[in-house]
Amino acid sequence: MSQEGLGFEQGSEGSETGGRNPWRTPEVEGGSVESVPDSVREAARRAFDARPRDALVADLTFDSLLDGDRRATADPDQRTLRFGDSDAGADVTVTTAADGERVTVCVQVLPPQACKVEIRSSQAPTTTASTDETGLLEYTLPAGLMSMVIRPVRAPEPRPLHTAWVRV
Amino acid sequence: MSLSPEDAAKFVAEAAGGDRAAWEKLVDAYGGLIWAITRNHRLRHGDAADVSQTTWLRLLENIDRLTDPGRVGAWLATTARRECLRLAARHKRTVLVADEVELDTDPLRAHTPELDDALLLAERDEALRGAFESLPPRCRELLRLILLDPAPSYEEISAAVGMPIGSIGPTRGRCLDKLRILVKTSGIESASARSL
Repeated sequence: MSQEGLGFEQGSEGSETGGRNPWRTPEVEGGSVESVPDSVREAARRAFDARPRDALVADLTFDSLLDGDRRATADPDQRTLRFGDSDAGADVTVTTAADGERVTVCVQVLPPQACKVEIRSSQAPTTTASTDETGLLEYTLPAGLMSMVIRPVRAPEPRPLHTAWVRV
Repeated sequence: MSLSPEDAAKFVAEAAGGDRAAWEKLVDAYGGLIWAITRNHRLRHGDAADVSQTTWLRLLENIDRLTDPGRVGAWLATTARRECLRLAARHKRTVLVADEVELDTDPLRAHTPELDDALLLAERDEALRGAFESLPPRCRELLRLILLDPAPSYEEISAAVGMPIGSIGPTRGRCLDKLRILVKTSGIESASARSL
């Protein structure tokens, strides 16, 4: 799937560093209600193209940011996520680079098995990678919204697993 | 008005079936609600845009398994609020909005020639906005939602601000009273202020 189809606008993050904010809309008559920026509304409309089809959705079932005790994590800069469950899912650790602009994602597919993984990002074109035999994969990508489509390599081919979109 | 539960359920079912027009109706109906929630959490623009997009993507991931599609607005509000909290936790502290334009120092505004009428309107809006910004945070959060067009239901507002439904009416009244007093003391007399 092309990135254009994912409903994102490339580089929307960087624009706010340009001084004046081009999205700032004037207050509407009658009170401090800010209307939705056109770029945000358009992205929401285009998100429809990224809807999971013929895939199982693995919900974000654990996020150390909200659900976990951060002390349990040895490295405070590391975030752990679980999508789905141990029967069909993935454990993911995300480590943010010092500059905050890139993240390293380490994936363990559950149950462990060889898979092809499509990595989708709001900030980069979609790429495909393969796990090892035990379902392990590591990659880096720009910080932003991310989702994976995980396809186990076995016959008969099961339905792919679509991990919930999450900002990493 | 926000969507009736019947319309909301209908558009959810149609969108789940691949109907783009129905999806766009949902975006039009609830985009403002989600955006207002991100503003209430004082997220930077880029973060707010990400929360909005994540919320819509989350709906797409769940659109064929919502337990009560007629209440999709409250579902979206809850989801958006949770995504805001996730981002706030990510930053370890709530980041103040960096993109608030200072009205007094906005160079474009200062150098744009405007008709007198427009200028007066702008001054009144600024004063009204100033009064609004003087309200306690809880009042601002609530009024920002109540003043939305289309107006969210009380259930949606409850999900958006984390306030019991029964408290919304009385709190709204108190906040509007405060705003009226602030507006009066700042000397704004306008249709928009009276209509609040």
